Amino acid sequence: VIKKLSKDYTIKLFITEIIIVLCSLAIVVPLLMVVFGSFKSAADASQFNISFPSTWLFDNYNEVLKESNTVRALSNSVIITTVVVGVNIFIGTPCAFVIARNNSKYTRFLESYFILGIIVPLSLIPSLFLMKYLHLLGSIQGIILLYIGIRVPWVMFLCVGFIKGIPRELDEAAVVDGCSNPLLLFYKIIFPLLKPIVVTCIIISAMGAWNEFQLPLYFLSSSKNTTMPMTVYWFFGQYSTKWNLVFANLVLIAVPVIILYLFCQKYIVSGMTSGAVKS
Amino acid sequence: VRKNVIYPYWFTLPAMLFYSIFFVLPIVAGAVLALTNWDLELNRIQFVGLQNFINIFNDPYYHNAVKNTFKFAFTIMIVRNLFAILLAVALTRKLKMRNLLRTLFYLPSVLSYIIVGILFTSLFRSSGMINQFLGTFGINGVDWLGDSSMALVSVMILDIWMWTGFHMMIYIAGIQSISPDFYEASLIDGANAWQQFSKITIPLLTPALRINIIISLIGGFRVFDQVLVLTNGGPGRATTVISLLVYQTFSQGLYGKATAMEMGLSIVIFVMSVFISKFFARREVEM
Repeated sequence: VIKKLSKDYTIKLFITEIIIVLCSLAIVVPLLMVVFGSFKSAADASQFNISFPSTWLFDNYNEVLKESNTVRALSNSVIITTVVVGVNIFIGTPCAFVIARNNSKYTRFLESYFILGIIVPLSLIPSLFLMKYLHLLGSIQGIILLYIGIRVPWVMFLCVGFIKGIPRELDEAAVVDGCSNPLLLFYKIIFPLLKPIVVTCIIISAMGAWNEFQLPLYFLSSSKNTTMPMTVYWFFGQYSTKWNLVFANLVLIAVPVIILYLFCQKYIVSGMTSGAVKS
Repeated sequence: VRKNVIYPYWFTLPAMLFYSIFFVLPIVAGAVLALTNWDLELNRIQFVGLQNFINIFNDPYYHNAVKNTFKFAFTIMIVRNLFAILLAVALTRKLKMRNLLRTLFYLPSVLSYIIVGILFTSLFRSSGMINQFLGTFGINGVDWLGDSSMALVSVMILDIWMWTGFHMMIYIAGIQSISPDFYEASLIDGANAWQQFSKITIPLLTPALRINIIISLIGGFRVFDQVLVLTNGGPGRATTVISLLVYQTFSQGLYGKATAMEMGLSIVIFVMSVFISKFFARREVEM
């Protein structure tokens, strides 16, 4: 049926389309309420509807940004996200390369060793103990290290499968041509070919680090070192009657991620699904 | 020999070390800490054997949290996957707005839990959008977050809203990898749409089904942020799940006990994932 019907747009397809569009309103309408609400007055925003703002109060955003913590948290979030993504790619891809190319006891062990990190959550309280021991408790550096530990398995999971698809003859040809230094071989020949999957890893790691809420809650209790999702949590506690400001704050955290998603959708979806369907 | 020259093991060292120190070491340390009565406020740490685990098993709050977590995890696993399959089947047909609709359904899963949590706090208010919507049909408003029999359902609604599109994308990839020949052959044999769906689509979707079931169950058992933001475990203890109880126990300074609870959860998640993988692996061989 799928093949036959697709040749022309039948009445059945039309009805399906209507139903699915109605379903999608469940996603669109609440999001519009947040966006419109962020430009309304406090009284209008707490009507919780999707009417256009009677006057557009762009000042709501200024007010949120004036909160001393917001700018600080924004820069913290940017620093954490950038470092985590950079380090993950830098240490993750060479490791994935060796795992994909060798078939020894050690690399097979590594493969399942890293899978553990995808299944099991981070042990929060022992990590806290570890951070305390390293004098990194409550610091940005500490949380960066933990994020790297959490995200490396994902880089491995995505990259190993991808590298296995790159013909091994390529390496051998490079060696014959005199490129027998493994660092040169990896960075000059292999790494450029990894672009699509590296982009996927960058986006997934970046979104994960940017959105993460549970870890900062445990590890960054001081307001100085807070991250964006945390500011909303505290902000919401303080200003729960000023829904316009709460909505503006939500939009501020969501916009970078949504932009990234809309422009790099191809990479996110292909990465998320390729690994999943193959394994 | 040459293999070890161009694929050197030291390439694996940085990733291995980071992961071992900052992910695996805490798990191992947890196994030790769970056997102590580490208490931050009393500033003591002594070996107490299995006492924490015995306390947990006799703790009615823990039983309640386990019950809520299982209810939550299995319900959302079923509903997320059911909706996701239906959406995926519809959105692999030639609909005019297919790509836009796929983008929209996936969108919530890239947002932070804090955003979705606060959004739903507003939606679930007595004067919120959901009750306004029900009101237009003359249906009385529901006390979504205050009624202890509804609160867990409300958290499930948030979760399903957020994640269905994510699973949908995996199913879409799965459906697209099925050769159209199967459908053409079945048409010749006179199969109807339902027979095609149940005899071709579903069996050939088994890999996608497996990964989606595992991902949704793992997510369900780890549930934390949604509950913290939306209900903070209430009303009473109606939505207290294991990881929230861990957080509450941690906040009281009872680190040893919280570690033991956390470990219990990790073990459940691990065993469940292995079990499901094995279950599907056997079925795939049979087919």
